[in-house]
Amino acid sequence: MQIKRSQKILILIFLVVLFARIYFAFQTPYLDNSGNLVKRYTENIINTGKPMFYDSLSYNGREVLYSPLWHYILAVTSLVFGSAAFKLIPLIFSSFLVFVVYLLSKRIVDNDELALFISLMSGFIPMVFLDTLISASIYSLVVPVMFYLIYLFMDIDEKKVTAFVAFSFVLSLLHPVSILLSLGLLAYYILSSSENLSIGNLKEEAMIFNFVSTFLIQFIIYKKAFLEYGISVIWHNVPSQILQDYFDFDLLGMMYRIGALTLIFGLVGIIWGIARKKDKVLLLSGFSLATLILLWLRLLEPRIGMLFLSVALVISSTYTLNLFLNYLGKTKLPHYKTGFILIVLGLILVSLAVPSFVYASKHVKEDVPSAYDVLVLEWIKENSLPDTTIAAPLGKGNMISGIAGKRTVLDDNFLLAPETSERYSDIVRLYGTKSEVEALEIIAKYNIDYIFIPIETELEYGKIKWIDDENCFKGIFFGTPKVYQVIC
Amino acid sequence: MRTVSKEYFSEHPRYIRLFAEFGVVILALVFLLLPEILRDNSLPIGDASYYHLSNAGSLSGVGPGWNFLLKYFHIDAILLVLGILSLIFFYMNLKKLNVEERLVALGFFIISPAFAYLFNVGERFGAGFLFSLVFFYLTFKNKYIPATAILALIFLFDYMIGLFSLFIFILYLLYLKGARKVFYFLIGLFILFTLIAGDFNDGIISDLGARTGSSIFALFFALLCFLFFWSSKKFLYLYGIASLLFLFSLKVDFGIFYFSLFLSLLMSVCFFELLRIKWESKLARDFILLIIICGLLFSGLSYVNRISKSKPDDNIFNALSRLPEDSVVFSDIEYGNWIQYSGKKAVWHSMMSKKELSTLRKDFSVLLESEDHAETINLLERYKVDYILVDQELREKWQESGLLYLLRYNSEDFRFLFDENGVEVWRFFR
Repeated sequence: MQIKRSQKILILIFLVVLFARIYFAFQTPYLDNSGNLVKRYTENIINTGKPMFYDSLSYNGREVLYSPLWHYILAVTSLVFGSAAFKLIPLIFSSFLVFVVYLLSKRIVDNDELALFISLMSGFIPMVFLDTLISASIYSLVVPVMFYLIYLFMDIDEKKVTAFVAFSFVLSLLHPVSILLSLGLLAYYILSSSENLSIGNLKEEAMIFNFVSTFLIQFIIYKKAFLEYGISVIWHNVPSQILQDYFDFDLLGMMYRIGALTLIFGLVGIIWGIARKKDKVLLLSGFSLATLILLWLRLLEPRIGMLFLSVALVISSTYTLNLFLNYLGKTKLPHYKTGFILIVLGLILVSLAVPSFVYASKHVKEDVPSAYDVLVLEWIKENSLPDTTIAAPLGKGNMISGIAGKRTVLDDNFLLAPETSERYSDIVRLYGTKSEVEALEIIAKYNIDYIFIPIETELEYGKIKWIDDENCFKGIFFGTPKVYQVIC
Repeated sequence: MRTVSKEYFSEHPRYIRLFAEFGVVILALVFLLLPEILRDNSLPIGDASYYHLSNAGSLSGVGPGWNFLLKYFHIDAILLVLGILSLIFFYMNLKKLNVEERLVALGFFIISPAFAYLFNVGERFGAGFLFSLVFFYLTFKNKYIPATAILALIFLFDYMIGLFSLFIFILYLLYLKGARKVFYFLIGLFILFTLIAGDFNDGIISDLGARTGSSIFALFFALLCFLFFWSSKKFLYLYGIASLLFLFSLKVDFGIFYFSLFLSLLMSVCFFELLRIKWESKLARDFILLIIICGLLFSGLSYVNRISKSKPDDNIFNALSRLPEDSVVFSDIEYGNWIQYSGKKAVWHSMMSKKELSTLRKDFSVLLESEDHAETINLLERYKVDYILVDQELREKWQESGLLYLLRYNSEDFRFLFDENGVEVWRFFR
């Protein structure tokens, strides 16, 4: 079988994207806070063969609710790649997005060169680039699968129905964000109906199937959460104090993280597609619209919403760029056409690649535990009792349970966690109070044995005065972070 | 041994029907017996049943007929019989109305959370529900005299179900006589009454934590079918009735049982209609219908599992048995009937009238939230409380403020007596 030129280029793009990611990801041997949680759950599967549904370390011991498919994938692949699998596998999966985007772009405009360029763009979307780098993120698989489903749906026929059914199941089993696709398809249906466009019976049937299967699987997996929180499950038990920030939507940040030019071209593509009643663009518009509505209603975490929105916008920009290129062909600038195109395309690429590299470099330096952090936590692991509890700020919980293997008061895995708001407020009070009596009350409440004080906490709350009481607290480490043992 | 092939079944619809009937019977037995099998103890489920058991034999209180029956029959046995009879009468009603899809409707009703609740939790509604089905059946057969006798019986179990049945009967007569104006006027009154009377229920979707409710998949299926068949006149009527019952169930406790019953019928009609219409992809059709059935089964089974694990447990009664007879025990409202059943006095319970409860709720919310020592003591003295019963669930519900705070720090007025596997009892010194 002979490989076509475009396929060769596509493989090259895949390799370029993959190696760019590998370059950043392997600058540190560690994973970030959420990556440590994924690693711990996966290691449990490797050791016992079963997923962990009772986490004895998180929140001093609590039930956890998640779909373990991703952890099984990592467990199986880590048999081959060892601990490198936690970085390598997500990087490979997320790089597959270039193939999916190529297929989608080609379907929208049937322009091979442009589709290749768009697939290259998708490899450097800052949001996707960052989120799948060092956190063993499930989104590295969810994003390509979701857009592959959109590709299958775009021109669905009898042959593709089976694949659509199978991938719908896979996506639903992977993550509850699969609901976003169902809502996107619904928005597409509404948009098409409002434009008096018939989407066809097969699409309607596939849409209904996706909707029904997604909801059933989510209800089965998250049954307990639905019973516990009812409809409030959409805010997944996030502490009330941070609920506002958690779902806060920053438009400027979005422009930088998606890429300003991508945002403009993508939005123009969506609007143009709706105006011209282009069915394929309407599908992407529906998906983007559903995401934007969920973001606006604060039902979707912005980080996650932007991840999907950015890819949808990149694909939608295919339509705008195609129009732009066609328009250039009709102008009286044939001599400058190639140069002009190269400048524009180069600018787009730079607007994506530069923020990606800048953020990635910063992310690898700041959001990953330092060698000293690891040294401190490993010391605690070796020199303390197994049921020790460590107090740490919210963003360090998984890192502590992952590296030190000790109990924590709270972490950011909120679903089904006990009294998240109360615990969050207690931890904030612990670091912020000037009263030793108040601090000791909180320490007694959660049986805290060690207090972990990272530099960020000291910068936020100032120096903790009560920790200097040598009758009650014994300093173990005095650098950044500081660690004190409770001895009274 | 003879192998029964697929062709054999397709040539013999009689056998398919027999097979389906057999399946429905098995399903009914599973849903009627499973909660008891899954339960860790042999205690009746919920708190309302204990009210009736406490009043067994008397023809007074809430649901006097049910109180009376419980003296002569074991609660589990009578619930099983009521469940089976209800299914039989539901089937006979559908047969009388010439509903072809009656077997599937029966299946859908059996796996609904409402059915599991009605005939596993010993509330008065199960008996009222059965007699209302008997009443409708006799009405459809034009046997009005025995129907009137049955209607009188319904009032003995629950006067609201009695009124509801009577209202349906009047509507039926008006429909038969063609008095459309009065018919629609009464429906308008019904809507108005439902909207203005009482408070809305906390929830009616069992999958989202409602005590009694409908399956989310049933509602979803009904909605989906509405999108498919809204233009059909037959379906518009069915959806009209379903909407009225839905509205009714938002306000009235037992409304959800009738809504679920009608929803089962609606779903069965939709199910066959979906099979009849032309699909582009048979794979999608089969999967959609399969998922819907799995979803309905999942909802029903998870509800059965939930009620089987619900309170009370032995620990509560063991703790209560250690207290002297006729002493006054304070606990949560849902524990009131258990306290009464064990021979003690409760300051409140869920079967009290709304009027009685409104004052009590006000007082006890102060008690549970305030850290004012004098106010708490005053309230406990006013209600002559001797003991306070708290378990893990109540500790989480009441939080560490109010009464629980005082229990911990005030040893002058309260003394910890014992802990019976997580159920704590405190003495209050009046």
